[in-house]
Amino acid sequence: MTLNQLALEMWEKLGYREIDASVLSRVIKNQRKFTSKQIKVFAEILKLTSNEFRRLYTEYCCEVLSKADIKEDFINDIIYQTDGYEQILDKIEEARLYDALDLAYRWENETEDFLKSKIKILKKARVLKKLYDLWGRLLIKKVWTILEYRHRDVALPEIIYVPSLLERIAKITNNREFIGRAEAVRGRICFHQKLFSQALKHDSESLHYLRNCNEIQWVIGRLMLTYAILNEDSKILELQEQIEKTLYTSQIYQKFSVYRGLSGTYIVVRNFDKAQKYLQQTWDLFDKQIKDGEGNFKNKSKITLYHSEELFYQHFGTYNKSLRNLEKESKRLTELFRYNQYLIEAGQIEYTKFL
Amino acid sequence: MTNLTKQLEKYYSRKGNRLIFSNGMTLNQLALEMWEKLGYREIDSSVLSRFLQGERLLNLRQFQIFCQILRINGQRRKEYTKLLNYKILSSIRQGENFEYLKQDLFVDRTIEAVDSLRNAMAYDAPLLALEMIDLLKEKLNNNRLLIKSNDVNKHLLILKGKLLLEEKVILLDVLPFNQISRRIIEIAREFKKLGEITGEKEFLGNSEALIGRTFFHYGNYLRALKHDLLALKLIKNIEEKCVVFMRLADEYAFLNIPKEFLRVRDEFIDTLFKGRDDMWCFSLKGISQANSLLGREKEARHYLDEAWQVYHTKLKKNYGKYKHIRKIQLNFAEYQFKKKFGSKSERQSNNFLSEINNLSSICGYKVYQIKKRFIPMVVL
Repeated sequence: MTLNQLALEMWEKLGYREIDASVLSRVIKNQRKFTSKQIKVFAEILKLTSNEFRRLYTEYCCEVLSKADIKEDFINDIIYQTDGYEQILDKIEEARLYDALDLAYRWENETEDFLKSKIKILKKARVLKKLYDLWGRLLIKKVWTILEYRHRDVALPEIIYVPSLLERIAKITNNREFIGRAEAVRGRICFHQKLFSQALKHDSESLHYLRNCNEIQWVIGRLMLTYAILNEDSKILELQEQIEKTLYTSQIYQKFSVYRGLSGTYIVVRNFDKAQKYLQQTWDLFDKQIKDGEGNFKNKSKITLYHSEELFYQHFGTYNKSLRNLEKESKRLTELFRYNQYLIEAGQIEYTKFL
Repeated sequence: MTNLTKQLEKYYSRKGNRLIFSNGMTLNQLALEMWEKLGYREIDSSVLSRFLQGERLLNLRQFQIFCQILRINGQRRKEYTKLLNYKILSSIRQGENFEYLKQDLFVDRTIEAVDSLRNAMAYDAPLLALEMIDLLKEKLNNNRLLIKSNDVNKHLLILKGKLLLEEKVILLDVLPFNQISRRIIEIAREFKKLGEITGEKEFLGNSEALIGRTFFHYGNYLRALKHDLLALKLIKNIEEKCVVFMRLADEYAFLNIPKEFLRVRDEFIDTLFKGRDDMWCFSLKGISQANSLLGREKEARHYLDEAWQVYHTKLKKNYGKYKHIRKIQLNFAEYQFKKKFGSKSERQSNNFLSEINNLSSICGYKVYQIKKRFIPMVVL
């Protein structure tokens, strides 16, 4: 179609008005704008696919809206639905809290694919930054899920790409917290590979950058356990003080994990009294605040408590609680909710299960 | 009166002709302070008064100062700023562009959210679905409040219908009927209203089906039958059709009309193969149940075995296929079969009950946590 033909057809479809070749030519030269109706007719005649049309229309709206006295964030919110992705992250977290690991894993993968595809086509720096930030935060959730959900043989290869990607995201978003997260993931990978000295190095480094209280607690918990394994008991007390200071604002499951981590550390250093004390505190939290509620990793908590009890027995040769029913229940929950990392026979439970 | 104007009413009260704001200031004092903070310009009490009455707008800078003085912070301030942005867009006549895009994206996002609800149920995370549904309903309602265009609203109404359908499924699969009966009747009413506005027969059918479900629960099978037969004519969705078929089969069985039962059964079988795998399993179990009610032991056993076969071959090893809820329902059917025909030992039937209790309490299907003496004759 020539310019004249296109203008003529548009003119017809617009009820024999609004457009002629001169108007169309000025639009093409960016000297004037289509109206909303005109742009739809334009797309219809050129048979644009719905994706092509949406992209064109998005650009059009972006230009028009940016001339109004409204916040840029607001435009991004509407046009690129950035607040929508925030909600998806919340949704994934909810799925995890409700022990719906299959679902969380599925949503994480879908969201990551979606974010990647958006990042590929977008050019607007500010929006891109926001999408990378979301991707980075999603990756952290994904790492957590994979390490619980995927079988231990495939879990580590699946997350090995994450630290370097997080570093790239740190550069793009100019947010150094992602460097801390990259180091923390490296620390965790090394810990799982039983490379404890290297884990120590990465985890210590991550603490220079992390700001989020929960993330800091996870890393400190791992550091304590690593020092325990390396027989460097003197460092533990200092870290314990540090972690306990931050506990009062933590949510229930986070407190639960910290206490469980403390009991794990003291099991490893064979301090019976402290190990028992913290294990009891973990049980108290579970019985009073987790067991009868919903959405606090209720089933995961039960599984991990069994693993702590089993390790307690292995180290001290005495039971803190009877394991007979607990083992059976834990196995059933592990299979039902696919916490595949915990599919381990009694007697073979290892330190990584304290994380 | 605009939405924003209405929201801001929370921050002042009238005493005679005077407005007193939540921080104790009068209109004149607030306008004066804003004027100072804006560099001694832009605002006076008349401008502010007209803004509060929805007759003019503030620009974003003016509004931020207004919020700052009244200590409106955090999420609230964000929300009100959003509302003001909407108003600014409408005032520059970009409402049409904006609404088109917003509708398009909002609809996409809501469809995704509805899919997420279904996923949560399919992956046997009913309490997660329950948590998500209220949030989503609220969002849809809020969004509709902001949109004036009829076209957009019609689209959103259809979405609302989809959401109602998910809500119905979630409520009936998760909570005991006595706890949700009011909400179910409310959903039936909403479906009817939606059907009348949009002209979608499916919604009217869903409304009839829910009324049928309610009469069924209270044992009024004749009236349930009337509504379910009407529902069947209106509903096209295979899964919903199967649910109605199953209830009809049970209703004819309860009313002891075997001839009609057999007719419905044949139609039911023709339909169920077109549905999802788990609905296939669910429907075969339903046919077995109705046969049990009519005392047709051989047929009841046959269909129950077929249902188990579908469970073992299509559901058991997969995820996202409603496998736990279907297992619970099959165990119920087994328990009832035993009660009716006495072909299993007491211990075996207790095993079924213990499996039901265990699985339903772990997954959160509260509707199936029933004491032995309260177990109904059929489980829908």
